[in-house]
Amino acid sequence: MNEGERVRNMNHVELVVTVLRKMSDFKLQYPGKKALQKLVYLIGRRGVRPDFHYSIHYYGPYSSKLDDTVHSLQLQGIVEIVPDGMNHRVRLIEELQEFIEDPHLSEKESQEIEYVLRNFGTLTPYDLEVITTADFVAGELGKILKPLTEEAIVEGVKKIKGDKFPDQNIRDALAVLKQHGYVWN
Amino acid sequence: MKEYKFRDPVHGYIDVRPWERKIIDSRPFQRLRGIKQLALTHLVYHGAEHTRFGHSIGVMHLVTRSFRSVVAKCADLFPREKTDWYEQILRLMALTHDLGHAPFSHGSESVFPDGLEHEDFTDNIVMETEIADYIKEIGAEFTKKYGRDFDITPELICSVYRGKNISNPDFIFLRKFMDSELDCDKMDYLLRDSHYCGVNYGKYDIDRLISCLTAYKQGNHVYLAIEKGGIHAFEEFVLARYFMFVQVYFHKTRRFLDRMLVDYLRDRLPGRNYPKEVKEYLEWDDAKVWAMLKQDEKHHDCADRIINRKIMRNVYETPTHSNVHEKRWYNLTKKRLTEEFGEGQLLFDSADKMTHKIPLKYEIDSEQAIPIILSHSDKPSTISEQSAIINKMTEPINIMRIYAKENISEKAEQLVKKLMRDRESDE
Repeated sequence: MNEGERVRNMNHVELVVTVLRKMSDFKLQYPGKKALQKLVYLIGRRGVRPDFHYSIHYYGPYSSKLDDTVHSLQLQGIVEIVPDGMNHRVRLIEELQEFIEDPHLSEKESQEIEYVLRNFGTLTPYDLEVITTADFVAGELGKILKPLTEEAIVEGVKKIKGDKFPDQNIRDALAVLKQHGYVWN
Repeated sequence: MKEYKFRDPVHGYIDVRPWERKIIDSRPFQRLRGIKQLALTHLVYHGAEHTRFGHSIGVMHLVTRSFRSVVAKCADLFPREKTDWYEQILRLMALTHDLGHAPFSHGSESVFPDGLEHEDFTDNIVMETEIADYIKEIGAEFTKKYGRDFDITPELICSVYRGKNISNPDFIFLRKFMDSELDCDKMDYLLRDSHYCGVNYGKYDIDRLISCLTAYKQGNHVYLAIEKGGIHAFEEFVLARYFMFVQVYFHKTRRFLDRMLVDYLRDRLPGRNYPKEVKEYLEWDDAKVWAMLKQDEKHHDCADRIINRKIMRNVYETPTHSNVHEKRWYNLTKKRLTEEFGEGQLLFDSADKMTHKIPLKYEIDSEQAIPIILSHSDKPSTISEQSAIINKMTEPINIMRIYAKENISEKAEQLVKKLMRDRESDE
């Protein structure tokens, strides 16, 4: 990332607003809270900062910092949480965008965000959960296992998720991650 | 094993195991005696002199009570040795969770270096100081008693607390006692802050709440939950969070002073941040910062304001739950005041800066939610679904304030009043 390209780093709020704006520009459906968690995770994994400090939870990687950021935007009236069946979607309130400053975003960051949204933005929350869980497990295992094998990752995911994801789904997720340049050690 | 008894003003006697006593007696833990729990709140509520020291021991006490309550209710949840192991892991997570706090706790977190958070400093302190040795001693005791699978290491404590440990799905369950809608950290700080501030808003029926905690299994996971009979205690708990936020954590004078502290530290800390290296970082406590402030009271406006309690006047404040019109009105008022007096004469604050303290509305699939188990249904529910009061209380709290310097405060107030009159006549 070229720090010279801008005056200061993007903050958490600006990153989330940028993601939501770009989703709207790409005509993607407003994300559910869970899908947004996973998309921002994948964006962060491509080096876009600030860090949202993800941890492993019941439905895969989760960031309470992101939850707080969405809530902060809700308090400012910039987003609203719209019930949609069992889901809750995060909607950017277009008419209030006058109050949002333009984010301090570099060209590289913009490209990385768009890459994730183009390639993962239409996936279901289930698919995003298996992909991000596989990535999280691989990342943690990669710190202790050399070499890191696909078998070890599949076993690692099953250890934490039980039978929720069939082996093949985990292997497919790993293939998708590799195809898009996610590496672990 | 002889346990020590610590007398606590909130919980009464707290049992401390000999190996935990070593951690408490260590220099990094003793430092917490010098880190006030509520930053500069004691300049508003004079009793709020309590520190992270008592809070950390209090959370250890509550995780033990809560975990034992759940295990007693769900007898086949874990085998005996795992129960002992998990309880000790929880106790250590609770005892060490605030070791990395900066002087004046959350009040000065925005001057951490390189995007670090206090949890990062906690990790480093747990793994790089004598605390690591004491935790390893505990691990050795557990290994001797139950075998190598039951070792406890500093890395294990940090990785479970930070949600980085993928070796055991039960660790996700353990974390819920420390980080969820109804965790023991919040349980302790509400009672403790309320007690020391001399306010009753933060009180709730802790005994009932803990006795109603339960757990259920689904797939590979164990979920922390609450029985239907605990709904009213849960309501009280959420209400306590709401009132403490509005009356104490977001108190207008406290917020102003915290802001002055951050501005001062940004200006005066070497490199504008706390040091990154653990040994140097541990030298920082409230007393050190207070000494700097006193030295600077004649040379720095923020130090002068804190030491001599010169508070800018709050000339405009939105309602607790402001709607779109009120937000627009706030922005208009802010714009007009800035045009008239200049930004340097004003200070703006909003509740969104403190989202971690605000009670939120959690859906059932939220990772932070603590589900409620209903007797008539297999489907767990949430407190917002079960309680109309909480459903309303967890509407967004979005108070916004404008402060004005002394030399313009009267004129600023007059202008705000005039704008209000114009608005009312327009409506």
